[in-house]
Amino acid sequence: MLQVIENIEKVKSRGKKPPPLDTLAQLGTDSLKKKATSKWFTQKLTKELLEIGSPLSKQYKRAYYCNQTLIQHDKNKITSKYCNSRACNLCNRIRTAKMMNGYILPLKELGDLQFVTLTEPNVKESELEECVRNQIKKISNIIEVLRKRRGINVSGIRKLECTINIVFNTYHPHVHLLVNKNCAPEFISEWLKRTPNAKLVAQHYKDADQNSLNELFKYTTKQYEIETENKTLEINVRSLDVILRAYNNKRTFQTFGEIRKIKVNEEVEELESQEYTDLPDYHYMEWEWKNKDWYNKYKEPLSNNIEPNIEIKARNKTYMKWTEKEKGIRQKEIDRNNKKNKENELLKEYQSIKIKYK
Amino acid sequence: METTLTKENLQRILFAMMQIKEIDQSQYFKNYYNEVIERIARLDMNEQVLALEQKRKDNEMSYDETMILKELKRIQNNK
Repeated sequence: MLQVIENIEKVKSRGKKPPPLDTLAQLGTDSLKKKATSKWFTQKLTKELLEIGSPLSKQYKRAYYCNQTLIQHDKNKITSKYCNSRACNLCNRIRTAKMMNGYILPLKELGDLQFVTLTEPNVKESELEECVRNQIKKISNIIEVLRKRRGINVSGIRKLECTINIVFNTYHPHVHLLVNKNCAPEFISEWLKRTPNAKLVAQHYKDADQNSLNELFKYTTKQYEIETENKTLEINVRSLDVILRAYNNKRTFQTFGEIRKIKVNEEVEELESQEYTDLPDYHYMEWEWKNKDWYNKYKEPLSNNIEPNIEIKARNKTYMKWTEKEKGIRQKEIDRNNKKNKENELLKEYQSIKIKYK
Repeated sequence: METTLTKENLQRILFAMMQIKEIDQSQYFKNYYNEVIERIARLDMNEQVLALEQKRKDNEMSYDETMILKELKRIQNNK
């Protein structure tokens, strides 16, 4: 990352504009292979998502056909159509890179930064959308109060994220913020003021470093769980759909304060062309996706991509098929809750006896 | 996630909480406030115990300090 900043600054010092994302480096066939793997995964994922008949099925369909045809022109240029869906791994990759490319310099200009995580207890599927809406409102309200009433000059970026607890089928929407120094405690105190059921220990803040930047710009939600032992990727189809629905038409990424002026949006442009080295020698060629790679009319593969040796398991359509490990965690949690309830009952009994004998 | 609520961070949060007007403070906010104070006190106590333990190891402990350490440990165990 530092290298990227240095490169951009070098170019700036020469009096040129910093390069756009897609020409930061000449892309080789390796990056085409990565693109093919992403495409392969997106198709597997969206195929499962399409099966559940979600209201977002149109979006999933677009993601399924994202980068279906690549057009090679001018020998080393490839143009393709992007779907801009959050379910699409290909577009997510570009989105993340675009964000990083666009915001690292303005963030650096802000000086020392702090990384804040604001959380609320897990919610059920039916409450998720309202919770997310409330979180957006709360954050914008906090920013306004800090700026107008308290006179604090706050600048930064907020990002909404959501994780899943598969065992209990609950969702954990939370907010990540990257703010200028000494604003973080203010954010936490204002957040606690507006959130009666929050827990103090679950709120975090620390000085920002490279990891915090990565954390901020990564996905809105995890698309899969990796099981390294069995070489499987587990997709929680239903919960992923619930999250995507909750965050649909909402800005997960928003800047505020001085940083707002820089224009970088979340959108991935519909048509994008990229330059590659080592492409087959054609002036014009159409490459069509089939199973694991793009092929031309002569049935030549474009990236020589090998289908990953990974099994993809779509589960969690009913939430009832728990693994042994999950069953153990669930049982432990139930035992802990029972113990707590018993303790509370005993405490109540003890207090009532105490009152009697007073 | 590892907690980032160090003594210094908690003190800053406490200071930020003190900036909120009394009229805006609800009951649950006061509970949070008390929790922050309690956590700072606990961390303070832990620091004190560690310092006294070090002194004991170095054989530089007075009788009063021994009694203080004993009392602090009793409080720690009760919690």
